Amino acid sequence: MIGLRFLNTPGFRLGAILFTGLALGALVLASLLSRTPVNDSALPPLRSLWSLAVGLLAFTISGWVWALRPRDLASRIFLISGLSTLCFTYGAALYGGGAYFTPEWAMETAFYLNVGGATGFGIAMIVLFLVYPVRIPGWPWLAAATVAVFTGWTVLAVTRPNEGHPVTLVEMLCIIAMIAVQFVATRGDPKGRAILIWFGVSVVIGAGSFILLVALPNTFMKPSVILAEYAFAFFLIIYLGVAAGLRRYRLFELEEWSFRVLFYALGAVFLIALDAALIFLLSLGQATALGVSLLLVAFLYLPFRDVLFRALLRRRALTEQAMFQAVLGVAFDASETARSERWTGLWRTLFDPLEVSVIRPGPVAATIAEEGAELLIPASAQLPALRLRHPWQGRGLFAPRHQKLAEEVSGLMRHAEQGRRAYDRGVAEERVRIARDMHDNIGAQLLGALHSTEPERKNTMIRETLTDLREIINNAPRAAQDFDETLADLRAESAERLAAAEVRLSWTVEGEAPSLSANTSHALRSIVREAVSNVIKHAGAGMMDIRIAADDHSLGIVIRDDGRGFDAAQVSGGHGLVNLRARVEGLNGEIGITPSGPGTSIEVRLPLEEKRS
Amino acid sequence: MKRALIVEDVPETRDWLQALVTGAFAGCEVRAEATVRGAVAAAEAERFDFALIDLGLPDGSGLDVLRKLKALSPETTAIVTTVMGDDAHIVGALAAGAEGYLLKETPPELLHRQLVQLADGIPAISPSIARRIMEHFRFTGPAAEPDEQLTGREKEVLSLIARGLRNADVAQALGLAESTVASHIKAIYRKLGIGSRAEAAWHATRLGLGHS
Repeated sequence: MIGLRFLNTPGFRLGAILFTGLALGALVLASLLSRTPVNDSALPPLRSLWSLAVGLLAFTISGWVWALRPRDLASRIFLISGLSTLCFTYGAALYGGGAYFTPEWAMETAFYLNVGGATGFGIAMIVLFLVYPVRIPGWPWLAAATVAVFTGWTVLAVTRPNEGHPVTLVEMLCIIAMIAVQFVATRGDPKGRAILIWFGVSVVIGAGSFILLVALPNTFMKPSVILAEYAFAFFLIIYLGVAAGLRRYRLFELEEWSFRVLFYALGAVFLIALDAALIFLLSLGQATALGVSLLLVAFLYLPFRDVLFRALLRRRALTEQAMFQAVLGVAFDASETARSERWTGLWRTLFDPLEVSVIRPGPVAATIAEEGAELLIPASAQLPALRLRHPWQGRGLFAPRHQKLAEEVSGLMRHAEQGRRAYDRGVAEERVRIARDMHDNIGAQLLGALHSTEPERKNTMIRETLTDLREIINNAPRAAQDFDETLADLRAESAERLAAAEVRLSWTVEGEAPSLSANTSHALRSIVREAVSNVIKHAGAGMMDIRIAADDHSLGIVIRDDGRGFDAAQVSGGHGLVNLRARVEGLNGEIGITPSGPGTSIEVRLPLEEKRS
Repeated sequence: MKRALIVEDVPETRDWLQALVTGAFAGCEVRAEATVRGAVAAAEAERFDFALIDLGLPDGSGLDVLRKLKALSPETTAIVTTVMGDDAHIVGALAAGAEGYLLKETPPELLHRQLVQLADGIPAISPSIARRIMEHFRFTGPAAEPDEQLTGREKEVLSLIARGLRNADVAQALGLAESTVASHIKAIYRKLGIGSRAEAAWHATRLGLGHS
């Protein structure tokens, strides 16, 4: 039994179909060649050869579909349509187009084959659209009625051959009607609808053109617009359309492996035909012929097959880098709508599905559903869960490796989303910080400058505002500022200013603090600046001593000068000292301003752990 | 200092700078320009002893003016004047050949002093910039040519400046003449402009890419 198993393979079935078609064609050719030609031509007319070619191709394609799904009703009916096409084209070829003196039996056979084939094709197509893509309720009765009516009508027509009989015309109208019925029946089934449109358009254009150009004129006893044999080519539209539809829409549920079967079978037939041709035409020995044939197959057919295979079945695949970029592109697009759209687009690029819809709730992980017709993609933060249906325009199924890919992309997406959220959070925090600093420092200072009546004071405040603005921009990411850096900048600035006024600066720092909060460092800077301004403007001092001492809990600032000194009570009414006091007290610090020998002494203590009152 | 170029787009600031320059250098001829294009045209047409260049100009960056100017006449003392210049911009300006930079909100008497000093060949350098430069040489050091590395003295000068000492204070602390400190700083500036490789490395460092 094992030895016979190969008889039940698609390859064998397709081979059988091919040989049947070829053998019948050879019989027709033999019959033509055995007749006496009207002219001196020894070759069969082009019209006959063309008819044979069309019939053979149509029969082969329908046989191919059947060979792959022999038990499927639709593919069986499709095979019958192919056989019918073979009948009417071979019938026409057998007639010989008037190039021979044709014997009676051949005339009659040709006639019956042609008429029977034509009617059969129409019946097959009507019945096919009764069951495919959707089975119409009551289809067995409708099918039986179709067969009975058109067969009866054809028998009637054959007995009265000299009247016009619009059998095929009516059949064509029935086909169109059935396509319309199927169109309604495939509502809500995008894949069935896609198949119907593809297949239906092929049939309407293919058969319809023939009916319009040949059958319609003949019905009214008029000559056809073009020769019937050449018009047969329109039927190729149907069968080539089916072949293309197999690739695009998984017609008859066939996958890409169907093409492998076809290419192998074609290879085998090519080998045998070549072998036969070499033996008979070139009279080579059998062994030599087989060798030459094998060589030709290996060097001509196999590479050709590979090229064909790649061209027909190429699928778009993204490189890892492209995928990474695509995912990042989705994650970092500005608006949520745009992200959602690009997310859907990414899956379209990856799997080219017929339908993408949002589902709620989504799966936890990528899941294959509906026996491979659907892939469910989990939601990722703000991106919706998706259902992808019918990948590669319906000509493939989701396999575990696709599920794995989807899982990888989803995971990558989650990471990218996390990154973006962290980024968004950073932006938001930064915005809050800038807003707070702007309000607390810049706003308050500009307001102070606006309301200040002294031009000199106004200028100072505006300058300080500019410095603070630069500080806010430069030290952006740091809430706390480095103690050493703040002091170094402050020292340089103070020394420069004092040098311009020819005041010497003595600067001492004791202890260390790891970092200063933005408020503390701002207060420190304001205090020192204010004191330096006062010394430059009012004190008439020769030197200024600034000591800063830090420990774990507090910051002490002692500022002395050897200038004229002032009455603290009097000064506290104006100038910047009021601001100083308010700022220090706002930070729960202490400030003392006292005259000391010659000059003034300001002592400030700021707690380092900030407690806002 | 006979001829000065001022590149500044805000008219009030331009007039203010012009007054400041003529105040610092009596009899100095000033040409004022408001755009990159105008400034480049001026640099092509004339020779200047020194130039004050704003970084943010309506038709581009003052850095372009700076590079063009330095290419056309290397002997011109180029000084960047800016208000919002962040560290990155200022180091970029120094690397592009600026001899110094001044902040425009500086009180006039101080700016006057800095201008006079700069024109006398005493460059100023702020602590934050000194820290940047130290960082720059720390990360690009191994990749640079030996003669492009900072000497021990230069590093010392730089670290004192980074701690807030002025040139005069540095001179005092190290027991050097102020002019010696100035020449050290000039050498540091020169080494900072060590070409694209180091500059690229510096940017990489700034972006957190250059080292682990």
